[in-house]
Amino acid sequence: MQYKVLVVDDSKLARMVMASALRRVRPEWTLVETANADEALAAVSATKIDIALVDFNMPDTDGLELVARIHKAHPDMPVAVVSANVQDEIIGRARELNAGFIPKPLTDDALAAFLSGAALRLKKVPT
Amino acid sequence: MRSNATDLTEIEQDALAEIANMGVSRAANSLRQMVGEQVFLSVPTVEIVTRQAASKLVERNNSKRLVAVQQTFEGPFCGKALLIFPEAQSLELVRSIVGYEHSLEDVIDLEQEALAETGNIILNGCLATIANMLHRTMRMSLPSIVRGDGATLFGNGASGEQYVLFLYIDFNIKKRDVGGFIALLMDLPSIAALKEIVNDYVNDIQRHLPSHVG
Amino acid sequence: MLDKATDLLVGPVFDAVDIGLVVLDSQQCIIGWNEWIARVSRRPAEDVLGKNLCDVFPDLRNTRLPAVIEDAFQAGSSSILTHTLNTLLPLQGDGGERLLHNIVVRPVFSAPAKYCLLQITDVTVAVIRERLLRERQNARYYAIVDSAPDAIITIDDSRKIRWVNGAVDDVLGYSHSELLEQKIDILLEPENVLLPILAKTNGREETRTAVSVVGRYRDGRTGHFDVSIGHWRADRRDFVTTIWRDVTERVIADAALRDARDALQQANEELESRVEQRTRERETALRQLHESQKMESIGQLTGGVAHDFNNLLAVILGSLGLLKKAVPHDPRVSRFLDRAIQGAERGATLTTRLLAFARRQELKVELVTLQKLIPEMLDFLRHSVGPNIDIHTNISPDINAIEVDANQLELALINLAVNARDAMPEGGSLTITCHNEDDGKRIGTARDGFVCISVTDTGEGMNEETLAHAQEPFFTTKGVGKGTGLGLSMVHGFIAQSGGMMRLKSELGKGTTVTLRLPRARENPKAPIANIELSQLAKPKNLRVLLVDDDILVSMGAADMLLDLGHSVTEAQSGSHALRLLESDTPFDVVVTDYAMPGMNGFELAQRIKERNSRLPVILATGYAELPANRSIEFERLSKPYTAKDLAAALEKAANS
Repeated sequence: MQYKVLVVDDSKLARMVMASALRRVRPEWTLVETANADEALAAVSATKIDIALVDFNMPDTDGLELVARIHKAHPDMPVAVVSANVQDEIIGRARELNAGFIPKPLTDDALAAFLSGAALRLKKVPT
Repeated sequence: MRSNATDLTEIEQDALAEIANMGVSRAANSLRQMVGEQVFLSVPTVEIVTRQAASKLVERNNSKRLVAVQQTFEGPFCGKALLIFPEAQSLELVRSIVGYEHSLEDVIDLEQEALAETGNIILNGCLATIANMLHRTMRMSLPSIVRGDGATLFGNGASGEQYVLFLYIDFNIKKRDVGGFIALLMDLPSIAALKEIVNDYVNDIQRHLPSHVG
Repeated sequence: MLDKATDLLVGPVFDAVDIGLVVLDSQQCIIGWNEWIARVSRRPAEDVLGKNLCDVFPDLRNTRLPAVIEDAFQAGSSSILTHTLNTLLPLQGDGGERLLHNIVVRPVFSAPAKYCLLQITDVTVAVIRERLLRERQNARYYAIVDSAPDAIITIDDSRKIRWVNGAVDDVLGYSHSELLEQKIDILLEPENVLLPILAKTNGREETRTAVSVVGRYRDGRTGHFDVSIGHWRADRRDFVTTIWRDVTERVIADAALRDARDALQQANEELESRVEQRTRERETALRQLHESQKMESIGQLTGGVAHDFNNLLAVILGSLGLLKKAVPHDPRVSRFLDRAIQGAERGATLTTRLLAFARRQELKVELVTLQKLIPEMLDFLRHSVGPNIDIHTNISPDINAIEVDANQLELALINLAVNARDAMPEGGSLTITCHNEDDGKRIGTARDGFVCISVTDTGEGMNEETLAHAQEPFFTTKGVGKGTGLGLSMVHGFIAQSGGMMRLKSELGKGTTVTLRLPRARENPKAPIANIELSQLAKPKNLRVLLVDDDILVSMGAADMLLDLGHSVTEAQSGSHALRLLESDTPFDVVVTDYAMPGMNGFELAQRIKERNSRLPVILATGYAELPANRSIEFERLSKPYTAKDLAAALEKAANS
């Protein structure tokens, strides 16, 4: 199954890291890169996004809030917060929002684990 | 493209910013454990400036009474890492971590050690992240505390350390806002080495993305 | 670097140092555990070697230590974990006391292996020493502060109490712990002066004098406190230290003292004001007395002048009368003489007025019914005031008769009317009312039974100052040549002489009322004296007259008159002379004596004569009326200056009485 993954991160490097890892872990999937919340929401309404990976620490954007908004429009979309900030509060909030958490620096293993789980969930949902 | 040693290309800037953010987040994680509440840290800007410029920058708002936690680092690049606060802010930082249960006198006693440890956590967070991201190990010293104005902190250019990787950081711990600086004081070769390593890292990632548009 | 290092040396050195040394491998397992750490952790090396650090001390998993060790391996970080921010290993000293310690974590790279070294340093002593040092330094401070009888309370910039001394219990009733973290507001009333002062810092330390404040004890009662305030800064934080001294007792005592002082002062002021009032009253009385004395002396002066003038006029009139008779009838001569006589008579009128003012005129007292008198003089009044003034009368029909000189009363009323007219240049109205007044007390006299005549105009009125001066002789507001100023004072003099009172009431712009009060006539009033024409008199027989006057000139004049009348005259210059003459054999029919004489006055002489010979009539010739009008005088009075006609009439009366 091919899925489309949305990546939201203001840092080009971080996007590159994410893209690089994705290519390694799920080479057949496609990637949509956005740099901020507005772009991300536009992308979500413009195309069919299957999975979203959202950076927590972005200027002018609360990553978790973006997650909430995406979920409002697409409650079943698997979303993960990506962050070096692994404080309990952040992880807790992500959980509340029914989102996953992937710590930075991103490892292939961590990404793979999440994507597997996401794919599983997507399979269950009738499209 | 490689321009002046002190200029950062866009991608270099981006990379350093991301690394700095991650480093500071790592420090926040550690601090959170001590503080018991969510710790908010952010790194709005990263730039490379001269030593003189840095010593002026840290004295913004005319605070000439500065406190710095200092650690030296060695490895592929070497220099001095400084966590700098205006004196009042440094106490605010420590107090927000130490708490207010202690009597006035006790807090004063504890402050120096607590400041050293706090600074150690933050600086280690940054340096360790750099080391990890760049797949290098470094050697770092234990923290020491230095007081004085900008000129005192940034020294008189011993052994050619002329360049500063300069970060301004914002803390919010237990509802108290603290603003300070992180400065990595390095000589020209070290800056060059850092940049090279950063570029290698970027290239490494890009290599995995043949169709990636940079 | 250990020169010529050998394992033999390293081992003993490892165990000899006075800090804890722990070496971990990259799995965080213990491969080095020195003597010191073994002792203070009570864990011998053989128990722990080869084991994971966190297995040996499970509580470490909750600390930063594992992560920090990992960082040392991964990144080469060196870290410090202080006792202030971390609780680390359970270490005890020899006496079982807890050891406060710091842990330093260092990567040790001995290629190819990586190790992590933990250095554990006991900071207990340092901490305690510091604390002791601080305590010792503070001990003196605390000694003073804790032994201070006043409550010392330090607050931070949010008014929370950060520190108190022991005296808060005694002074305010709170224990140490009850006050900490509370806002200082609980010690104060809601509206108090202290809070704004506490807030003021200005960044400088301000010392102030103590502030008086109402504070609250723990039990809710309020008390008075003097609070000293000191602002100070430490580490960029602002603090305020307040020292509370309970001065409730003093405040109460002060208040009592103040009350007593106020009461005393008030009593003093009252006394002063009373004294002032009395003094003013006295001054007023003195002033009034002075006024009346002044009036009296002016009166005396005027009277004296008038009397003398009268005497001279008597001479002139008398001589002119005789001259008229002696000179052959020539119209021109008669004209001159008549004019001269007229002039002298008018002079006499003037002196009469003066004497009236001086209260020394001769009054012809008669029974007067105002119900008749006033309507009769209305025409004359209307003529006097002119057509612009309306005259109204309101005469109560049952008013009593009064005993006055009717002429003088008329003159007085005309005087008042003229004054009223002058006060109403644009016209107005004049009202004359008469009614009985029975209550003397109401008008301030012991007598009862008055008749009240009031004359009211609607004129300009007088202000207080003018009113005060109005009764003064020669005081006039009428301008030069328009009034002699004698009018009101003349009326006043006449009324007073008649046993009555005059009161003035005036309001500027509203008008003036002059009230005359005259006593009611007595039961047996004197019969009115008829003015009998001389020509109707029978020719008197020749009388032997003893003429007594100290003034020779007057005496001569009078003598001539007597001779002319056909009487014989003997002159005496004094009372005693007269008495001597009377003792002699010379018979006299009548004595005509002047009143005012030095030594024995005429009245005294008359009385002496009466004692000796009650049948000898005495005529008192006088311009004075020394005696009050209501005292009966049994001697015939002859008013100076008198004409031959008056003299003849008096002689007739005296001879026939």
